[in-house]
Amino acid sequence: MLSLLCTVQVVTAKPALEDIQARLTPGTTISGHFEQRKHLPELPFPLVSTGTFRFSESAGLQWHTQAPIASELHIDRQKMVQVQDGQEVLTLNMSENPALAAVSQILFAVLSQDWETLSQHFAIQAAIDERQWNLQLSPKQAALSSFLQSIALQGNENLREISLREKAGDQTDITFSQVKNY
Amino acid sequence: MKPATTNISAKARALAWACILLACLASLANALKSGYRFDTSIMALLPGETDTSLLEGSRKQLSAQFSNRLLFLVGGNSERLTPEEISEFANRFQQALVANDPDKLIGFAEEVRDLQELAAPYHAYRYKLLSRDDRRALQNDDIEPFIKSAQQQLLSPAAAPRVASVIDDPINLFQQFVIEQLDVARGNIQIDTHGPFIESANRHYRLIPATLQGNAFDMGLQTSVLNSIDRARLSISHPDVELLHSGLIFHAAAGANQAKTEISTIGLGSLAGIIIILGLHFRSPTPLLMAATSIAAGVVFALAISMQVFDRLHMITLAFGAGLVGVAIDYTLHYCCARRALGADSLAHILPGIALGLLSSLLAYGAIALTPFPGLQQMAFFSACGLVGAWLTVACFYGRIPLPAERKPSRIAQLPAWLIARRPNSRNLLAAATLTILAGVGALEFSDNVRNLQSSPAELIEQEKVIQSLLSPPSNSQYFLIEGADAEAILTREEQLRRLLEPLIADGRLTGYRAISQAIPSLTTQAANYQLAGEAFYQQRDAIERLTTPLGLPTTIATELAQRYHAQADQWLTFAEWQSNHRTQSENLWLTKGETSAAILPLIPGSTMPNYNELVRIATTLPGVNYVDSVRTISDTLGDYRQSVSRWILVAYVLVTLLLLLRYGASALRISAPPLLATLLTLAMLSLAGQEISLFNMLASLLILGIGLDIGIFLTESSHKAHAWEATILSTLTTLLAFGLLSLSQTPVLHQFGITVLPGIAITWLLAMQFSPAPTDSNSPNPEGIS
Repeated sequence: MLSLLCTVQVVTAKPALEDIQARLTPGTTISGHFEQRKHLPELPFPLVSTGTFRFSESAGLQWHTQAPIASELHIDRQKMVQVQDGQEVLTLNMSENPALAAVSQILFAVLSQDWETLSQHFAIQAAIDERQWNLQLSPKQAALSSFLQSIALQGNENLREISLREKAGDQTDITFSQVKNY
Repeated sequence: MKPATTNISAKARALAWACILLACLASLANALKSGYRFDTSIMALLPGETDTSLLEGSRKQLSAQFSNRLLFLVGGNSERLTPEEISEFANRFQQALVANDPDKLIGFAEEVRDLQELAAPYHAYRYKLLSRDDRRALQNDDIEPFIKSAQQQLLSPAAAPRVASVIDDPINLFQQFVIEQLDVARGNIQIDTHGPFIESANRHYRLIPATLQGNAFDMGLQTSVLNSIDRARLSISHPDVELLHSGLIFHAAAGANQAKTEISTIGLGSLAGIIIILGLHFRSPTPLLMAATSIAAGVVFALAISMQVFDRLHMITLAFGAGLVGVAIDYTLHYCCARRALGADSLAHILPGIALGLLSSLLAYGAIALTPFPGLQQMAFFSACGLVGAWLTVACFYGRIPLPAERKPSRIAQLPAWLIARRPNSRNLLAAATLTILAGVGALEFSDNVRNLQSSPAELIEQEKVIQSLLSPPSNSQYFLIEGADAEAILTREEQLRRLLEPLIADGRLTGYRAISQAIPSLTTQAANYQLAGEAFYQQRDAIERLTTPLGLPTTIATELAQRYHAQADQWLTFAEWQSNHRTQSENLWLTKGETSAAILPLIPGSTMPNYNELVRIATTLPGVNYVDSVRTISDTLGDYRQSVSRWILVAYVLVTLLLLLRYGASALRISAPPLLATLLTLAMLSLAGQEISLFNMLASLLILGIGLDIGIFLTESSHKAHAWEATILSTLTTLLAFGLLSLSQTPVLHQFGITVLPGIAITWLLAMQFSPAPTDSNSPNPEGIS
């Protein structure tokens, strides 16, 4: 316990983010596998889904869920498109869905390691040791905090885990594996 | 009459009038001290004060909503500045505004609401509520897209926050209803983490809504708010950043400033002109003092009485009243000219003439006061009081004021003789006049559009237009009014109306509308929605399982979904409950007057608007539904009054001529023909100059009648003696000066009065000269006699 305390620094400002940035594998595109557990109020157990993802700043996020249902999700800065069985089942324009736009903006900032955007919107607490880093993000503005409680990030040379807690009680935990940066 | 009695009664008269004036002064001082407020709204000029119908209520309610709202748009070129930078400017502006202003003046309205907050009052009735698109999709009996989309959203890493749990709202029907509410409330406005904004072409605008804490017409408030806005503007000075604003207070302040400027230019201009004319002519301070006394008495009398009669005097009334100076001075002029020529008993000599003159002017103003336009009633009442005050001053005070006699007719008095010697043949002149009038009739065009009366600066109106096109807000002048026995009847009718409007929206003739039944469906529609959702999903076990099973959810969940639906069968969202949770919305779209209620459905105008007649026709197909275009209604009223005022003028000329015939015999035509011909010529010339004739030109024609008759009556009463000519020349000059200045006004109503009365009176005088017998010396016996 004592030794753990000694190795973990708790910092809140830029140096920590620079430290994390230095550890992360550089690249413009990130891809890999995910396992998502969504805890919803009133459901006795989380909805678990697995699949692959690919993200780049230019093309946005491709989220291919393989189980329990095969489906594709394409998110860019303008819209979110859901594809199932090769058919578009839903298209949402970000401009008409401010909350969704905010969530995806945050997700993009996390995936592209855009610390500047994240610091604009969140108070960031970092805990770092030799093996891994943890970030705790709390929204600064009312526009975000009205539905978002906090975001937790964990990683080493790659982002390993995202945990999103919403005010309404939803919690989304995503674990990444086989992550590649290029 | 013995001289002694005359003296006593004259003294008593003077004393009584002096007391009245003192009382007026006291009441005036008292009213001003207790914060009497002047009105500057152009709407106050328009009819409607006495109309107590629901229709009138709806118009007031719609315009009242706008009176305290301010909106600022901080915009920038989105190619040169990022939305974040523009948003930073907007923040700076808002902070500067808050810092400049004590928060009593401006409270920033939080108009952005989140979904959860919107959803809460509806949650218990969620199975009875459907968005328009979902209702249509469910009617097409296709539930699969709903199920697939719900599954995807449940698995999506990025999803909009839910307004109800997955068991309460499994296929997002309630979610969509709430989103629809938010869309309706926001219109074109988008929201991001920095707040509300609008994008258009290459511009990005941040919105800063604000609420004015106080009355937009309060001039003190105007000054302080506008000053702090100007100071805050400095904090965002940047070549690529612009500030737009809209709000009644900007128009009210512009109107107040304009009226203030005009009152001083017209009032002071008239006074200066009068001083010069009187000074040059009489070369004695006494007539100037007398003129000043009678004008001051007239103004004090008019102000004191008008402020007692009207709760709020309009600034335009005062500007118009300032023009009155040139008319009110006439009585003094007649007295001074007569006194110099005739000596001590001149008052008795001119009294019948100026009394008749006053009477004819009062009749003209009285006719204007009979129109239902509050602004015009004020102007007429104020002017009539001013004339009475000026007249009483002459009649009560001036009997014993000596003026140096001047037996030799003044140079100005010789002008008529000189002109008369050179006047053209009356027949030729009449022929030319007739031709002009006929040509004018050919070019005659009428305009009753109330928008022409808008007097706000063009720059302000331009800004307002830009903001309108960005926001495309619901109209406050074009709407349907839906009446019914109770809330349910009204909502049902409104839903029927909305179905009839669908085709107009579909083919783009109408951008949209706001309707209360969008937020609170009738019980009939709630029942239909409940049934529709049940038949498509909640009562279909296999549909529910197509949603739950692939997600790995147990059958107990499927059962729970259906049970919750059935448990809500007897829950209805009543209008009363809805209203208690939605005060603002119901204030905007719902109207209650005593026992009766009505819904207002304002249209959102696009680039084109459907034909007025088509909307009226749609309204007539439903009982209790009326289409209202209040701008058009007011314009129609203006048109109606233009026509009836035209008729009144003709009737007035006939009546006046008949009355004059009784007193003057054939000479009566010499009195009534000049103003009549002058009016026709003036209107003809205005038409030939491309001016469209409106109600206000016709009302000004009434003034030509009232003031023009003075000229003829006085000349005839004084047997066209030199002193009478002298007085009419001076009084015509002062009248021309006053209305000439009025014609320079930026306020359309005053401008139209000016450009009509100015030529009208000039022509009246010239025609009076044309038709008059040769002037006689003031002391010679009356050549024609008075019948």
